[in-house]
Amino acid sequence: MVIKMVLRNVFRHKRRTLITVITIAVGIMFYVAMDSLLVGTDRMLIESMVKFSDRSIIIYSKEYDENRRGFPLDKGVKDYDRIVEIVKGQKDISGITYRVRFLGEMIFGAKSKYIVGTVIDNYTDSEVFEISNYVKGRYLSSNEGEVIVGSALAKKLGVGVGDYVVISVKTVSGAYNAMEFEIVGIIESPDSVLNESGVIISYSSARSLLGIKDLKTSVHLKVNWPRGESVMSYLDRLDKITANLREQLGEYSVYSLRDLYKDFLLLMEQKRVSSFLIVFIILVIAGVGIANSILMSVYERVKEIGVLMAMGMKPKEVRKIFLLEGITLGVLGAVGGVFLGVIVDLFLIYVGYDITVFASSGTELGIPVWGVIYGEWNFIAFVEGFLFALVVSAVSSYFPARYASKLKVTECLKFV
Amino acid sequence: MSLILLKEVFKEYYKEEKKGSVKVVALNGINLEVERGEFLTVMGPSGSGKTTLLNIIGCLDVPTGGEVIYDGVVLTNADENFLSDYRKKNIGFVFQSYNLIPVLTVKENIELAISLDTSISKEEREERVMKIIESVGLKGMENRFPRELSGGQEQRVAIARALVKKPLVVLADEPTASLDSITAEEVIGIMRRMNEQEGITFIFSTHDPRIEKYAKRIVLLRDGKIVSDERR
Repeated sequence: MVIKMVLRNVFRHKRRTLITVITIAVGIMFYVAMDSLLVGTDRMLIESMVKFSDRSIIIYSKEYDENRRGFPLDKGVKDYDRIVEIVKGQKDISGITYRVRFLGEMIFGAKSKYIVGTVIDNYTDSEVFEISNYVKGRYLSSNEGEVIVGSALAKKLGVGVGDYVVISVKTVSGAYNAMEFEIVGIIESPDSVLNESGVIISYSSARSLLGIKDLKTSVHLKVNWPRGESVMSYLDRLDKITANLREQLGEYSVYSLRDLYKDFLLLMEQKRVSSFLIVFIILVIAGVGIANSILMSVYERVKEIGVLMAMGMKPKEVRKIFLLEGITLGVLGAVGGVFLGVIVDLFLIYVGYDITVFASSGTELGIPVWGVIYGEWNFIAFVEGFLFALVVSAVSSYFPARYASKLKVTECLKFV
Repeated sequence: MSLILLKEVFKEYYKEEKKGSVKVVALNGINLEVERGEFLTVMGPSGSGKTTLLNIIGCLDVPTGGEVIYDGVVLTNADENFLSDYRKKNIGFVFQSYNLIPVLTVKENIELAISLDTSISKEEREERVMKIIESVGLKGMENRFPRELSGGQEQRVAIARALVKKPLVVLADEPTASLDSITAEEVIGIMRRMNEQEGITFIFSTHDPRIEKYAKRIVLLRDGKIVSDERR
């Protein structure tokens, strides 16, 4: 009977109930959508690190590692073949390649920009990285003097495929050198840094430009990442493989993605906290709505409360009625929120959210990825949103319910 | 043994006014004995203490002095939970403005009164509700909501709600004040019939001479004191 009363009272004021339920539902929907985008962005970001810049596991010589922020060109990996032999014995590793990073300047006419260059091995790089899929124009051939330029960098310099640019660098011997390159491709990848300052050249060009021979400053390993495996599970798997390699390659520095991007991963967690804060604010607003709704309900039904108490209902039972009404609003809102969340999530997962319409680069938006951001299912976000709505509704209806239970029966019956 | 015994009952409270708080003596040493099966009317001018007396007899309020004894049970110092339980099982109320629960149907409103008492089985509850609906002439209206009823019908539901738990006493505060003459006669007739057939004790507070006509006993209050107690 009490449940019947509660449900009918909830729908007694349809408009008021609808507004409260919608507020809660929208709050949860936002939370689920934001979480989906954040998890999706994080995945894209990790994927872009994996696909374009560092891959899953990276190996440096100890000497290079100590100075790697200066991109030294004289401290490479010495016995690459031994690394290859050891890596071959590891399951899950499906590719190995090497690279050289260098700093320099790209000049086109009167314009110039600083660049972060990457020297790649034409034959093995595509087994590990996925650059070729994002290049407009063509990929590097074995010819000397070809370069692939990041899309934002090309835009800033006003260059395109077929144009000739000059790259100026400090060589391995410390001398300054400049060389003319033909732009054969423009890369537009989800990796914002690569788009804005990245240039890619082959070893044949690097030998002339940088004066290097077979220098390999970093070795990159590809560990398969099946679709559906979460970021954290993948990172955990990488850590295990990395630990194993460290034992066998004691003279080298071996890093997994987690080691390289510790600060960034911490930031990922903080982003989740901030998204939770936003939903907290939205649900607090919904909570005020619930409290208001229940309080209005109490004021409207003072005489009814008096009658129930006169019939023998105890104060705690009266409190239960109003508490249940508030929680019912919370449940309705939470169910609506989950429903809306599923719809928005489906949209974000399959259609995605194109951020290119808002700016010309990811950095402008403060987002380290670029292109269409896709959402990611996160069941936990639905559970969190649902539970949070229930807690907010219970807490916000508790005080009006308590007020109702404290009313004096004789005062209630006098109430007009 | 008396059903209800009030010994030297006082009810005093302080009322906030512009000049400060003023002491109000609502009941001033009431002594009253009510036997089973009485049809008693409490009369008196406004402010004489009728409603306060009914509230104390109905265990809705506690006296500031004196004793209230129900069927041998002293209720004077009982706590709110005990009084709630006591009301649940033993006291029925009928109000001037009916006070039905608007979201419940006729049947549900009546059932609510005994559904609070978990010692009554579902079958017994159903049987009692249907019987009382028939006896107050509401058969066929079980599934109507209060908004679909006339004032007289609403008051019948309120009477049925008070009677369904087979209380020791039914307290009715101005039960006919909102009804026209014919309906008021009908409603009083029902209560009188219940009093005579089932032996249920009724205590009214009223100004209505139509109830006075049916009353077996009239208690007249003035300034919180009983000034006359007439049995017929």
